[in-house]
This record gives sequence, structure tokens and C-alpha cells, in this order.
Amino acid sequence: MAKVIVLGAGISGHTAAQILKRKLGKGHEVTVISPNSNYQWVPSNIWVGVGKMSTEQVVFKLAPVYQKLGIGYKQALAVSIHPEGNARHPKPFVSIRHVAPDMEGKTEEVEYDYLVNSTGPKLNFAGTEGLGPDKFTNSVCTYDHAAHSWKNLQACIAKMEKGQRQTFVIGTGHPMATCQGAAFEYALNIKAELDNRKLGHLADMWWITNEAELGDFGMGGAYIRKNGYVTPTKIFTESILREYGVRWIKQAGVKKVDEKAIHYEDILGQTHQIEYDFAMLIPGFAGTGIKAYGREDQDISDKVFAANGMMKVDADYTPKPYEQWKAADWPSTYQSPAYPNVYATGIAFAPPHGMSKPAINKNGMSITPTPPRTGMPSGVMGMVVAQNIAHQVKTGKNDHPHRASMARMGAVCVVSAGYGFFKGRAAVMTVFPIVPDWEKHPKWGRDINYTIGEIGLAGHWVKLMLHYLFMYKAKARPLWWMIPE
Amino acid sequence: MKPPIERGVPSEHLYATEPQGMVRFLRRSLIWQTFRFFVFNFKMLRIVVGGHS
Repeated sequence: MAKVIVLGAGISGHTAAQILKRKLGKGHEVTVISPNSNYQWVPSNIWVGVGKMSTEQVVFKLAPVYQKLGIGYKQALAVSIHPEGNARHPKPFVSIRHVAPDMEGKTEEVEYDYLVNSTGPKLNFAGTEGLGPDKFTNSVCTYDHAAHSWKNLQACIAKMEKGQRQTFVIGTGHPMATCQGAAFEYALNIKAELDNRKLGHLADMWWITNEAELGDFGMGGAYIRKNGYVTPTKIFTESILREYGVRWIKQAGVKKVDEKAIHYEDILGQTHQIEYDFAMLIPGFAGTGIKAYGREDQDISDKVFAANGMMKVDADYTPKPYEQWKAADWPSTYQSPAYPNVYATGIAFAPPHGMSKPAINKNGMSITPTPPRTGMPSGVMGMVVAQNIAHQVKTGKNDHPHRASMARMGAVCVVSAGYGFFKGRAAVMTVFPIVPDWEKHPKWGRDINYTIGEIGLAGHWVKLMLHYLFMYKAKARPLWWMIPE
Repeated sequence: MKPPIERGVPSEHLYATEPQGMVRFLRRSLIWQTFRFFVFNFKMLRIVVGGHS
């Protein structure tokens, strides 16, 4: 009997666990270890942040779903992994600390044959002074952050109803933050909500971003074929912001937030500030801080994890200049090179390099988005890793018939720009592949036939459909496995 | 309602494109958007099927 442990129950980890159990059946053990008791469909947090969905609509309890599927579940925090075992354990194991109310603080060592690290990121609010819902800014990274943001947004709306102007600053809160798409959605949804309440004229809306150009989104931008032109996403994104009356500050490395203003450096190294009444800034992401120990209990974290705390996988991590970055540098199996029975998916794996061209100002501050690995690619990675592990368990072979390099897979990104079955809007963007492949597609970096960018009511329907479809799938309702990643 | 454009203030947003009547109408047209909904689903499915082994 094989024992598979999945760390994390986000989009990637939950997908991996569901598919592993379905493929392996009752004869093998699948256990999910996650500090969260709820699953959350993160893409819909935006709507919680503008009061269009309740938190209950975007989350559900994990325990009943895992019980139904026969998946083990421990509500605990992974503290360290021991891929060589140690004197007490001949087999590899994970040290965990329980966080469930009835077992809080208890520690346990859980052995495994295969380990899937899908912990997601640590939201590194501490990386920027004054950032985060505990300090001066809002967040939509989790459902409770989004609910808190909605509460603060309502306070601004109340002031506007009395005729006061309010300044909203939405964007990235760290020079190397990613997930610009989520922040972009939130900016547009706030403006749409204010316009619906006929308060838009009292809002000064600002988009602040670390992107070199708008529409970069951490993936070096993209090109869209439309109306007889091939247009960069820069034009597409700027047009949406202008239409919504949102002004922007680009190439901004936010370094400090106080109760009145956001302080940032630009690409020339000059310091500026912008005052705000409401700010939602995405933090930088870091590894969750799990340590790795060898057979003699020596620290081998450097061997297993990259400097940012993300896990090293089958990528080419050789440092090289931007001009030499290749699609082939990106991993396809997500297997640890040091320990073949360990995998990392979603945000937990260390990318070999960025997709956006690095930009460093004269003070040495890198103002460059890190590559996004959330949403659709996360789910696909979880699925492919699960399929490969199931294959290895069943056949005894250590090969990978399934692969999912971000340089070989496409992604769909639906950017909400307002809620409502008849009044909603969203921009549907697709790219193929996610990582530009300049050798295969020398002119545009990607297959232009697969790339679309279009805004409209249908986009909102698509986002709404994906919400219900993937919540259904995650709850493992009948025939869930027929819904593709 | 959008805030008034500050004329004379050098800002990139003054140089951005903005959709006009026909585009705005099509973005809300139930007939056109129903058609686009199926187009998007087809294109997404093409990416899902072709995107990973």
C-alpha cells in the first residue's frame, strides 16, 4: 500500500488529492495536510470584496468532502520534511503541528511514500512596511481578507453618500509582487460598484503597479489579434482603465505604507507618494517556511528549496540573462531533482526565472513582477502530478507519461469588470503557451491563433459559470471528474 | 461617471484608446454576447484539450 501526502488544500493540492484517490482507489492511502478547514475558490474573492457574494458562497468545509472520498485529512501546519527519514523513521516523513481546536499545538510525524507540496505561498505582508489588513491596506488574497475589505469599502461608500471624495489606490504592494490580474479585477469591480450607486464621480481611482508596461501581468504581456491588428495587452489594458476612469502609475516599487500615503520608488530611483482613503495592494509571495532535514537531522533546506523558499523541481535554475531565457527552462513534471518521490505544484514550485523583463532602478530595487502560477495552471499541475504518481504506484516504473510545462500549456484568465447577470462585464483573455516560447513563435512569443482578449457580458457569464463548475467539482459532486482542469 | 480629464497634465491615460458606441452596445447585446459565450467556451476547450498531455 502506497501512502501519498498532499500538503495544502488549495486549487492545486485539492485537485491532486481528488485525482490521486480516484486513480489509486481504496488500496492506497491519500492524506491531505492543510492548516485551513475550508476550501476557497480564490477567483471569486473579488466579488466578496465588493459585497456581491458572501464568504459562504466561495468556501466549503473540507472535512466532509474528504470523508466522502476516503481521503485522510489533518488540519495541521507542515513544519518540516524529512525526505531521507531519520533514526526514528526508516521512511521519509513530514513533521506537522495540528491547528484544529481539539488538537491545537500537538505535533505528529507522518510517513509517506510520495509527497506533493502544494502549500501555496506565504502572503508576505511583512515584506513591505505598513502593508496588510492588520495594518493600513486591504487584501483580497483570502476570503476573510476580502470580507474585511468589503467592510472598509462600505465605510468609504458611506462617506461618498455624504458627498465626500475618496481616493482608491489598487495594485501591487511590493516591487516583485505578482497576481496583478486579481488587483486589476478589484479596481474595476470597485469602480463598477461605485458607478452602479451613482457615486463614481466622487472617486479618484488609481492603479499602481510594478509592471514595466500595463498588461504585462507578470508574463511579459501578450499580443491579441483583433480588428485587423495584432495589439499588445498594454493597449487593451490601458483602454479598459481609461474607459473606467482609472488613472495609473506604472514601474512603481511600493516600499512603505502609512496611514495616509503609499510611498514608492520609480524606475529612475526617485521616491514618490500617493495619498489614499482606501488601498488594496497585493503583497509579495514567499515560501511557507517549511524546513527540510536529512538522515542525520542536518538542515538540507538549501538542497530542497530555492532562496525564496519555493521548492526546486525539474527546471533549469542556471542563472542566465533575460535574452537567454528559454521555454525549455520551465519544469514539466514538477519532480524534485534531489528526491524523486517529492513533487511541488502551483505557487509552491520555484520558477526558473521570470517571464517579464527584469528592471532594476539605480538604488538596486528590482521592480519586476514575478511569474503568476495561480488558477488554471495550478490545477493542471496538480492533476498531472497526481496522474504520474498514480502511474508509478500502479506500474512500479519511475517515469512520467503526463507532462504540463507552463511553456507548453495555455491558460484562460477571466478578469471581472463588474457583477450582474445583465450588467456584468469581464475581460476574457487566453494565452498559449503561458511562458513565451520565442524559438517556436519568434514573432509574438505565443501562438496568436489561441490568444484572445475581449471584454463584455459573456465574459461575466464565463466567470460565473467557472465559479459554479469548479465549486461543484471541488465538492466532488456526481461526475466531478468529467469537468476538465 | 468618470472624473473630468485634467487637460495639460502629462499623463499616459490621455493617450489610451477608448471604445465608442458600437463596441459598447455589442458588449451588452444579449444576442451578440450569447454567441460570444459559446465562442469563448469553444476556445477555452481547445486550450484545455491541447494544453497538456
